[in-house]
Amino acid sequence: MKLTPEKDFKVVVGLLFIVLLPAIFTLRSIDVAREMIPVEGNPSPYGYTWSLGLFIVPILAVAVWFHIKPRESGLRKAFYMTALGLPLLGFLLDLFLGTLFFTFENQAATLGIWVGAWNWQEFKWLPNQLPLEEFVFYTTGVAAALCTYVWCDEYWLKAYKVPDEGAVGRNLKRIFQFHWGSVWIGGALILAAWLYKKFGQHPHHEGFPGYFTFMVVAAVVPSMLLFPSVKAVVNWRAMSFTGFILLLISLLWEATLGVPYQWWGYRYDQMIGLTIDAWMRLPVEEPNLWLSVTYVTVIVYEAIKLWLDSKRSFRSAFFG
Amino acid sequence: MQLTPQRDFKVVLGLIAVVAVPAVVALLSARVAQKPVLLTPQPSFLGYTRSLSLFISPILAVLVWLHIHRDFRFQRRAFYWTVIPLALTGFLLDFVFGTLFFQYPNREATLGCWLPGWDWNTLRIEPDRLPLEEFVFYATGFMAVLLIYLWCDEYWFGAYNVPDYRVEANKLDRVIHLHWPSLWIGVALIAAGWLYKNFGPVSDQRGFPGYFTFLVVAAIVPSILLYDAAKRFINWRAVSFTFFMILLVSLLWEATLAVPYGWWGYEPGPMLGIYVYAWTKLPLEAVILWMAVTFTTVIVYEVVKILCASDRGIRRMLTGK
Repeated sequence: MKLTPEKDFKVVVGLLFIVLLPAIFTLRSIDVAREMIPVEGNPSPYGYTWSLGLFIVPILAVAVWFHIKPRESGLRKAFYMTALGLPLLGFLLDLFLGTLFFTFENQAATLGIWVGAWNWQEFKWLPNQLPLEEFVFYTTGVAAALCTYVWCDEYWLKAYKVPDEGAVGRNLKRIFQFHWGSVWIGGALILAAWLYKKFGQHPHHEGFPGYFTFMVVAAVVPSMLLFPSVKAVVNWRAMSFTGFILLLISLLWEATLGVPYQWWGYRYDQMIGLTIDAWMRLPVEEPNLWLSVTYVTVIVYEAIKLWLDSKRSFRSAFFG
Repeated sequence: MQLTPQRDFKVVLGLIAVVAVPAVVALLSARVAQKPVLLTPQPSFLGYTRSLSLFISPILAVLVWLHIHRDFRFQRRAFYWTVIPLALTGFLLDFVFGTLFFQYPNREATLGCWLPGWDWNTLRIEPDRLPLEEFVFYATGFMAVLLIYLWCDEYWFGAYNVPDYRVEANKLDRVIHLHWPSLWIGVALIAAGWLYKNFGPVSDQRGFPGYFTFLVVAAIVPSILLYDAAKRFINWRAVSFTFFMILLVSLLWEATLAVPYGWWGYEPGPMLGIYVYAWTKLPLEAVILWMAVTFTTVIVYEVVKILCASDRGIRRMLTGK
């Protein structure tokens, strides 16, 4: 069977549009925002803690399968390197920017174990700023996306896996190749966000769309450096499958639980100002995050796999 | 590549469980129900009407694809032979049971074209009972499910499609086989539903869980009669993708928009009494609906496809005689 990665990538983008465009059209029919549940009376005891099962259960299921199947050292190494490396980005975001972007009103929804973080108002490190669950989420969120993709790529949709990735890796001059398309898209998105923040129809003109900028940079940098090399080895069917499952879980988790029950919230001076009223004024940054997590995770994982399968040194594989 | 339908079916069940079990645990942590939005001032003018684009958009995309390709002649025929009867059944059931199961508090969320429906209180047809959008939904809902499955089966996950349908279809002696496990599961579910409704900790009045029973029957009857013949033809990868995509659309549509904004609601009497508090007290049945719709639509479509592909007559394929 001949694989058609260029075409498949466009199909994945098309699939997203087919769902996103009518979703935006429908959500725009909402004129009155829904209200959040008051935290007094503890409406969801340990809710945030329990909800992490949404990520942990798929991870456990795939972990069992992953360790039963015959050992493929390259695959496992790539998996662990991605699963341990990417959450660090999330930890950094949370430790240094968490108090700038997020609020945590409903303390009873967590275990009550709080971690210190950098506070930008007082300009120093303060204790007890972020719930432990945040860090569990950054670890398990990435791992869940990765597990789902790996399982699809290696088993459920294996017919669409690139047969000899090692040969692809060996034949590549270098994995880092500049993808100008990603740079222009990223630049245009940040500029558009800043313009909307300053001149759009919303009450939050003060500040900078920091959260969106951070997310775009986090998605664009891997894409800018890796996309031309990895697009031929990504299993786009597996990615579409993973993307939709992650979207489903995220919608359930954040739009119907996390934000309404105030497990976490957003500081609007750091948001673009574009919100989804039907989802308790959820900033538009969040659906963007749901989409980009799968994309970044898959790209990084495939790049690491290319490197390991090529049997070349890191420097030779990535820089040529 | 060897296809493994029995195993694949179990994988699909496993996939659903891996998402559903932690979802239930997370949703159970919400002890206070989200409140519906007040309907004055109007919070979502024409919201229900506009939301139908969620189904129309994939339909248009796949229909164009289906009609451009010349190779899919018998798939096209099977599609129309499946979707027209299913949609008509949906119309009929809405006409007969719509006023018994549902309510439509936010009239301005629709175009305002109201159609008659059977009223079980007066025992006659009453005018202006059901919004036009309901019927558009029954047509487009089935179409969207079927077209997404068809596209996945023939193209996106085409490697897992039965390669020569005509040969495989001709190997079958008949398509109607009694599948006893479906029957027992259906009976057990209805009995459990009735027991919960009458003896469980429900706040609504005791009685018969009509909507749940209706959904179980709608899913089980095709399964009892057709599952045995259809199972080896079903592309379970395509089923799983269709299911999760439709679940995503329906979660967005029903749990975060329709029920909170009063586009429609559920009469508590014929419901089981199990509600999702975080989704503005959405009854469990509404979640089951999407599972039942996907399963039934795919089974019926695969059997129609077998009938279209077979060289033998429909009567002989149905009965074996």
